Amino acid sequence: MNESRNVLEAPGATAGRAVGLVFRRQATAALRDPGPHFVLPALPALLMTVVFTALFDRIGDAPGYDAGGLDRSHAGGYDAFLIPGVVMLVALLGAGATSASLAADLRSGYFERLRLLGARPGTHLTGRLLFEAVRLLPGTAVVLGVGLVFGGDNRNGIVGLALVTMLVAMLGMAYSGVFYTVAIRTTDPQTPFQLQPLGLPLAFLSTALVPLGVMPGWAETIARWNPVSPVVDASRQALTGDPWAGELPGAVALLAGIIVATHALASLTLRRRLAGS
Amino acid sequence: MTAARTFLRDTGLIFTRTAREAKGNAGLAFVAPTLLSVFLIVLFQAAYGQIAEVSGWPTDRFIDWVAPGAVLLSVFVGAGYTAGGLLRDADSGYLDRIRLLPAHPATVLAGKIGFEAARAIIPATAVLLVAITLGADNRNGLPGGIAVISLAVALAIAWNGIFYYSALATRNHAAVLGLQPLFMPVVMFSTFWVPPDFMPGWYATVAIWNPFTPTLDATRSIMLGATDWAALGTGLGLLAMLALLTYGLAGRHYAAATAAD
Amino acid sequence: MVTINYAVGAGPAPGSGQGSPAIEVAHLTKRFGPAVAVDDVSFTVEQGEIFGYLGRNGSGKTTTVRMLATLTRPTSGQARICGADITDARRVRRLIGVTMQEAALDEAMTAGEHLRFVAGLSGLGRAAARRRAEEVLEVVGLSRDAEVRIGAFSGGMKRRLDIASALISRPPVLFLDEPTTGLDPQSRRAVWEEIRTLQASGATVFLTTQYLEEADQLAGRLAIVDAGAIVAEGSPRKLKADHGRTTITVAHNGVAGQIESTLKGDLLADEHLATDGSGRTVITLSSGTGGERALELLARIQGAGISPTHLAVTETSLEDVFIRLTGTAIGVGASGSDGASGSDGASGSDGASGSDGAPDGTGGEDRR
Repeated sequence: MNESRNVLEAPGATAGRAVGLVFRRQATAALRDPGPHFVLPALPALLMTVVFTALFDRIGDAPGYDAGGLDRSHAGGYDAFLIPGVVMLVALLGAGATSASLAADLRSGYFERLRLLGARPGTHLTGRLLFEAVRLLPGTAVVLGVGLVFGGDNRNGIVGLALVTMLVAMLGMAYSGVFYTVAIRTTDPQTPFQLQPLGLPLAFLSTALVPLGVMPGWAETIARWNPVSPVVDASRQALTGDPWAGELPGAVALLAGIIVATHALASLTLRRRLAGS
Repeated sequence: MTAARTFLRDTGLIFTRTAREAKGNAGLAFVAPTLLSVFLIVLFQAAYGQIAEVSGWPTDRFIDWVAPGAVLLSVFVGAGYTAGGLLRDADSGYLDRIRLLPAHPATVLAGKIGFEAARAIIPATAVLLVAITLGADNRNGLPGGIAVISLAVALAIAWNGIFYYSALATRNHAAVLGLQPLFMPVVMFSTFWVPPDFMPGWYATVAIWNPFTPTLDATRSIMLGATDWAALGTGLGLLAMLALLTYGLAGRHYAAATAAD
Repeated sequence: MVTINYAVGAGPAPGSGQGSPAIEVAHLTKRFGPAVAVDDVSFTVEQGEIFGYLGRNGSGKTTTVRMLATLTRPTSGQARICGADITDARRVRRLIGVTMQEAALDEAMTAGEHLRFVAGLSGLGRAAARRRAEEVLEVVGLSRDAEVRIGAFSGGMKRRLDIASALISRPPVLFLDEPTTGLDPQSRRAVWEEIRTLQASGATVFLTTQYLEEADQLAGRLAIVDAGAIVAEGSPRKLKADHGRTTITVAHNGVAGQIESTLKGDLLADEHLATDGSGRTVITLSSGTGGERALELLARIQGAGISPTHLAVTETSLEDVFIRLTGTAIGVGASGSDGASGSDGASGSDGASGSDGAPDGTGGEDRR
């Protein structure tokens, strides 16, 4: 009898518990179907890590390459340069898987049912976002591990690795907001696949793979403005430079801002969609 | 109508229906493969183009080396799409309805495979044109271009055999979809990026033994003007073997599935 | 306002069944551009009733449910659920449980996980959510399948799980939108049992359906809707009485016209006598539930010494009522019966009897 009174008086679950429930639901589904959630996102990044570290360190031999700021005196050369950048591909080519279930819930009647339960609709975005961060961790670990085996530099030890992992997770969260917005508008469960190619220009037209000086003019201009670049720079500093230098707080602040912005956009899109009926 | 003409006509009907379905899903069927390959060409030339400046590089520009691979890549992306459609038809009972029609059972497979081949032409041609516009070599002109597209079509037919086999053997959507990323290691560990001389030892070994490499090398040789007939022969032979194996097995499963219970 | 304890074995909640109506609807209208989906609909549902909303596909049933369930905003009109205005969505949502036409479930979860998720979002703590999930599973008879993936459930099981989901917050009012559409007859009857059990616990059930038998069997009162508007309202019996026709069909070996002469002068103004194609006499009564009157007339026939070789007295079916009120049948296969209720169209309502089944809407006069 106590419980029946509580249900009428309590305005649905508290925000914290609701977010936790959404997170758990995503986690359960992901663990049941680990391929698309954990393995697939890491695969392109992993392959590119292997391929680029194996093949493209020769690019250091190209005339004019030094101008790009590549520290060739350091052991590992291009590989050391590459790893902190290519790991960002885990986020750029792997984020957004949770948008599929969001689209599916909206397309079926499931979201309508959840709407009636009292938790704010935004909860379903926040819970998913937090899971995105967690979801990318295994892939990040594998890419970093493989990359270091192939010759990356890890002079800052565990601190560097932890900071880079944090940056990947935050980048994943920031980027996922874009997926959510599209998923809400199209209710297409294929959204993660449809948007995946977008990650390529985001990755290539940044400082992730090659130094700025090596790119053609137009590419360099884009890379300077690409928000991924400062994140990559901070990642590079974390692994091979001074982790606490200015780039890190700047990158974290930038990512936090983007997370808030894309999340807000997604929430707004969701609210507009729900109000439309 | 003779049996052959009937067969062709029925195959054509299946072809048209599959085409109509694909139009409804144009993003996945046409746009994504094209976009991905074009992105790769542009972005790789931008990021890694300088590698062509390293002494010993066989072509003028990096794009000359990468473009043939990118054309073939467009075939891989979105592969298995019509095989998935076949499974959908099997699930929905549509396949049963077709079974009951007087058309020969092979028309379904033939129509879908025919469509898959035709579908490959669009992104491959688009990527080829973009690559040429960006300066990639195409020294054999129009006949060379046609040859390249034909190789892409041959690759499409052979590669999709894997998905048809999986679809008919497992009847499981997830199993078919799960095969799609297979192309990534196949493409990555080939001569897609750099010539064998530029590879570390182990990488070169993998690439040389990769059955995709002969087809890729043959395509590149056509575009660069000095057709490598040995590679062409090997490549086509391997593709034929793959097609015979996969479609042979798939066909047997299909016959078993569509025979009267 | 009380909540309902749906647990198996719990009786109706104290204090339920009395007091203000559970659902009050006044002039509710919904327009989508120029199209009118729900047209000025008004009705009241008392606590503890099963109220049926019977109509064809596209007659506005689902839109009405969505408005009452605060999922869609009405274009005009008002409604109250247990006294709470539907514009106060947060309050109303705590008072209702809803199942829509498509079961709203997560196929990747197990039944238990899905219910615990819903219970948690409804505000229950972990232990309470677990208990409540077990409770509602028991109510719908799915306790055994708590750890089974919903994707493996049959259609009937999914519907029952859908209903269970609606019961989580123990709402006093349930909206069930076509709960048995697409189910086989056995599953359908199982769901009907659920619904009766829910009513026995004290719930008020608003049920939309296109199955005449379902409306007939379950609803205490129902509204017949056509093109978004209510064309008739009342208990099934009253609707049949008011809008239907009872027919008596007699064949005998005696003199032709004997029955007619026997009953001449006895027939009331609304009653008709005619001969059908097989030479049988067909008498049409004015009420759909004219069993008593039929006995009177049969007594007269018997008194005249007529010995029937064929005799049938058929009270009207809900299908007949529906056809009379809306002009067409409700839909292919939608009569939902397996012959048990006799609503198989051959009961003499279209063509065989004196009435012409034409859409007169008033259900009163015959045009003969």
